[in-house]
Amino acid sequence: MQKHLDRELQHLKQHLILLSTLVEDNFSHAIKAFREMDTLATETVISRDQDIDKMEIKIEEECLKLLALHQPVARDLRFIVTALKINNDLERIGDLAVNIAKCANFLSQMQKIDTHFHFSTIIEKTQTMLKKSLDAWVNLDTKLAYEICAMDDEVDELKRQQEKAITQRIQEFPAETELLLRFLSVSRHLERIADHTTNIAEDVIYSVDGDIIRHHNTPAQ
Amino acid sequence: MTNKPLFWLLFLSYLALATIISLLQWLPLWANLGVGLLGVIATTLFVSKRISNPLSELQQITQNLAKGEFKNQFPWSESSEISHLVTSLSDMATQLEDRFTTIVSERNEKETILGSLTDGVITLDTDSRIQTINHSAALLLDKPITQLHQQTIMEAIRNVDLQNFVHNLLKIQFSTPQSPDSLIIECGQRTLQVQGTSILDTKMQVSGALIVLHDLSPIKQFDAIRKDFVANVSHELKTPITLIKGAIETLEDPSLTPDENSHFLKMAKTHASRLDLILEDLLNLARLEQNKSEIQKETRTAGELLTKAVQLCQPLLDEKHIEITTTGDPEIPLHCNAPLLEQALINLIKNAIQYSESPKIALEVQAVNDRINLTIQDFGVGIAPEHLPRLFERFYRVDKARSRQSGGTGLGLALVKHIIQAHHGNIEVQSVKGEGTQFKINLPKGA
Repeated sequence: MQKHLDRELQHLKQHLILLSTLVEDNFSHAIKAFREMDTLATETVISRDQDIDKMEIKIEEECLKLLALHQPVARDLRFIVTALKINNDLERIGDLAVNIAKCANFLSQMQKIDTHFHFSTIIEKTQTMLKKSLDAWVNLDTKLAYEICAMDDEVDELKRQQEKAITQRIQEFPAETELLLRFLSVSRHLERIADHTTNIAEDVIYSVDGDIIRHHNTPAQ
Repeated sequence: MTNKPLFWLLFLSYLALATIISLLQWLPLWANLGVGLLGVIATTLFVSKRISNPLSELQQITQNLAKGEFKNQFPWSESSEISHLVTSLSDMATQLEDRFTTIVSERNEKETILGSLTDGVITLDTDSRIQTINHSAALLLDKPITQLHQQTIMEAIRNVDLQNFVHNLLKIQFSTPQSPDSLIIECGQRTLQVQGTSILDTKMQVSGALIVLHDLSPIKQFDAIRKDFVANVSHELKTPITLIKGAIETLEDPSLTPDENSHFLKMAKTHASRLDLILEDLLNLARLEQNKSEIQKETRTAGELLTKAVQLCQPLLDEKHIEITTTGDPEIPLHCNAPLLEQALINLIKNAIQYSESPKIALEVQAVNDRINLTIQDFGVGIAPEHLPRLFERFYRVDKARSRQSGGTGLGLALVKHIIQAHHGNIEVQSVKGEGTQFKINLPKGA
């Protein structure tokens, strides 16, 4: 019985890795759409999100089936619960990527404005966090997971700075408000994605050590 | 273990003997029986020595063989059955040892081949789990080899295209071996070309996949440099030609005054000579690249070379009122191609003059063991660190407007680098923005 469960858990992990790959790829496409105002990339992101949604449902059903059939305990139970949560987070990241791509699409149709909102740092940070959180999950690497939890604060700070800069610009040029609000959304979406990657990292720690570190972000002694 | 039966045998014989001695006096029949018993005991002892002992030794030897210890002392026996057994066992052991050695050396050979390949090689089983992976593959994926082993390929590289690619390789059933498909993916900083082939078992079913990773990043980089170069050459040649053409077209106008005429003639001449300079430098570079190993060399002193170079730059120095100071030992002999090395020094000195903002340029000659250091230091605007790695590339300009205006061809430093390389030396540059730049040539004395 345990052997069956082990094999099923391996399959579950592979499916989740497949989903994470799709989400990571879609996020890079969304970033490309935003950076280069590439409408083709936007279309790719939107069409691929449907695959992501389907896959999320499939994985969730798989988890529920495992719970009902095998009634796992301890590590196996934690693994399945973690998979359920990461599944959810990945799907949300996928949705946020679609939102960013849509903002990019809107911005590409508008007249370009000269902004200095420094998106590259926050984009790079978020991308690194996503990549590292998935690496931590694949290798069940808690050290890496703790690193990600620490990075979240930096992204929050960057978002706060951007919010300030954009608000200021809205006050200076009220005519550009509609456009600037999109920039604000992108900034917020990026920060949300970073939050989800932090969730993934916390789930990895829970899966391996059984410690719940949410809301205090420090290793349990 | 082996002594136990013997002990019992002795014990029994002792008992028997005791009984026999006590009973002999009563009944002669029993005496006969006793003698018979004695005979049995003697036979048992004999058999135990001849058969049991060699057999138990053989058992020990087979255990050793199973453990992989091939050096054993085989027992000698008078019994022909046992000696046959010993002979065949010893033959078997020899053969086993041979096979084992072959397997080990084949495995080592395979590992050496895989290990010394620059391309990454990975084999996967049907669950796309990594079975073998060579050192290069681990390097390309930038992960420790121990971590990668037994991971699935999806865990190792998260890439949608690669996943589909591997899926297709493993899906094919009952197929004939096919030509490898290929795919290009981005992995971290690298661009990898992935080639894959399905591995078939004896029933021609897919039993795994072979994946070969080839690093395209250097080729891509090289291609970028080549494209840059072609674009630069065309641009650099086009600029003077356009200007000359413009000047000539203006000269065709009959209503020009003689002053205007001479102005445009002068303009055409200046740019024609600039074009000539660029082509000359390009040809020099090409020539140097072709005959790098065949340059003619003679022995000169460092002082001679420097003095000649400074002499040729004197008009420029006077114009900008710059003084050159030379320190170090000018008598150090140097085996080199004098005209080429002078050209390199002139290029560097001219460069220093062009960017100098103080009335001083410092030259230094220094001998370190069997090598010689020539340093040219200016105290000018300096170069920002991001430009330093590309400084010796052809047509690379730090300040595009300024250097073209001052008549540089953009090839000076590239030429210097090639000259130094032809002398088996190297050149380094250090610079602090706003304080000045130092070029340091390091040459072997006997180059």
